[in-house]
Amino acid sequence: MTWPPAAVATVLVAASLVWRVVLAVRLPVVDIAGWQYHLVTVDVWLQSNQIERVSQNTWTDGWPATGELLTTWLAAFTHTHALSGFTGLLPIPLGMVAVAGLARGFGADRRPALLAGLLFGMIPALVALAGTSYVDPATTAAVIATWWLGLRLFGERDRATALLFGTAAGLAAGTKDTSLFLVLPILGWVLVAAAWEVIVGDHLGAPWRRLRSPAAQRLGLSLLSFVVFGGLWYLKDLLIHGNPIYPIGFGPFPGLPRDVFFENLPPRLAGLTWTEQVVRSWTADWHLTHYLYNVRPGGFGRAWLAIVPLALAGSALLWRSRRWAALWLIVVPAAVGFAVLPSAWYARYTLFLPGLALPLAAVALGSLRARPASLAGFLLVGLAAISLAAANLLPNISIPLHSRGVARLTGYVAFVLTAPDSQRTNVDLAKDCRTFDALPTGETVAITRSYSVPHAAVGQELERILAQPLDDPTSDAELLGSMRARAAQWLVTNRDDGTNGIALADPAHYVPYGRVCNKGLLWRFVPG
Amino acid sequence: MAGVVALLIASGAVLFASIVATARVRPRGGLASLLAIGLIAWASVDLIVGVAGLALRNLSPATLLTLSFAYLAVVLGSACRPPVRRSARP
Repeated sequence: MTWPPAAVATVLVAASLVWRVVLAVRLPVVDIAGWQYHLVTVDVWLQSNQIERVSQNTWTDGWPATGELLTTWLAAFTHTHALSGFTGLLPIPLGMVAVAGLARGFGADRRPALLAGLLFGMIPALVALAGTSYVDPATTAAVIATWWLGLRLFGERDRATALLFGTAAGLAAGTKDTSLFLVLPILGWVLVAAAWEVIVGDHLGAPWRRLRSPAAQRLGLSLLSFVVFGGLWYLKDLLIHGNPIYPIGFGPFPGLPRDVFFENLPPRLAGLTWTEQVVRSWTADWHLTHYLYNVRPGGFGRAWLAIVPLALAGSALLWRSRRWAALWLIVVPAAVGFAVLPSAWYARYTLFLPGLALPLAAVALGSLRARPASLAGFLLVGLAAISLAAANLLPNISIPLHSRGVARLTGYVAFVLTAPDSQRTNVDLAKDCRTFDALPTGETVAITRSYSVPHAAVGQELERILAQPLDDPTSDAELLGSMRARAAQWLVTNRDDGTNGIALADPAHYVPYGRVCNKGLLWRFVPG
Repeated sequence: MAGVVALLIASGAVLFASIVATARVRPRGGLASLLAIGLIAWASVDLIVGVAGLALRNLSPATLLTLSFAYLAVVLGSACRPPVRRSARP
């Protein structure tokens, strides 16, 4: 901590985290994926008072929901989403610790390892996600923790590390499918190595004693905790959809084509090759003056272009010092995963890259003499500080600020700290979807599956009850029956739904209420 | 406001239990201890919500608060027993 670059970074990160806590408390959760599925899952669980299948749309029905368990904890006590934004904030310190630990696991000295962890907490794409219901910070923290604990298991073969390792791998897999390719290589190796030790190890007495051996205990604890905290979601998908990683379709397993999941290419990257897209995104930060929560392109910050060569040098040092486990079970799988990821340019999907590159860079920094290492440390902190400021001093969501320059910064701070609730909570999606606020509290809303933001119908304080979604009714009788069966007073459709024609043809039962956000149409249902 | 206080109390109980559990398994190093506390706390919250939502089918604040303190009691109870012995390095 007495190393000046780390000391400066500590102050900056501490200030940033305090500010993010203020933002998470004061601003509403208005991220698009939350309103599409993260918060919807929590809405349904809290309204049904149990954890159950959430079939509102493909995403709620398919994605693993360990992240949503944390959001449920944050929302259950207040029965509102006022604090759900901590879902994206709480894992950041955990990720910082994991990055510093992984750096130590790679053999980095204490000081650069600490700096790596602090620089991770300054990645703008990560910082901007604090205050959202997105699970990417949680996934990244769990992935890096898995890597570090996996490495430790090579040296410390104790049950506690095995249990924590399996837990971290489970939390990674349980928050996001795409983390599987990052954690499975090291998880598989650890499990196979333990199983091998059980089978061929020296065990006195009867064969069944092997099952009580330390290796067997490590194997059992790792596997059990992985299944409990993550694997169960895949088992659920296998049983319900016949595909463990539903909704991603692959081979004989049913699901959606892979392209559907990566339809978020910004216009600036359209028509470019994979390499051009990545380069354009990694250099975009030099032109960014503020960061949206789902910033694209860009997001790794201005220090990233300095971190990458240091990370490559660190990889070479790992090779030279024959740290094969780190290389083959962590660096190579991450590199291969990055190479095959269709949205490799998207910082939010690739937060594991700085999570890996920073520990590698710490190895390289540690190989320098004291003065050059300090200078390099200051350079990294200075560059990262510019991006950290941009991520914190201007809104990460859509907030109408009518001033420019410094007045814009002070206007934002004043808005967060002093604006009345009615203004502060009426921004971004909450503002776009405020038509729903006119609906009476406690009434039931049915939606068609194609309406993209079911959470809008529920409200931030879970004011309205979300009914089971409608299964594309084809006749008036079917729609009437579905609405009556759900005891719904309101119907929300997508503007392109065939259901609109049915509703329009039956004005006695469906009274048009007007347009709502995200291409929605709202109807008042008269049971009749 | 009462909900926020309940959340803070329940989270505090889980965090304290996680610190006690970490002290019991004694990870080597400060970073490892911090990571263990974070992971155990996160996993504990998931377990509590999972038990409340799947087994008890009751996600009310009272249930979650009760489970948090039950969990803390279990951890404190187990902490009174002798600590886990490390297996030897290979």
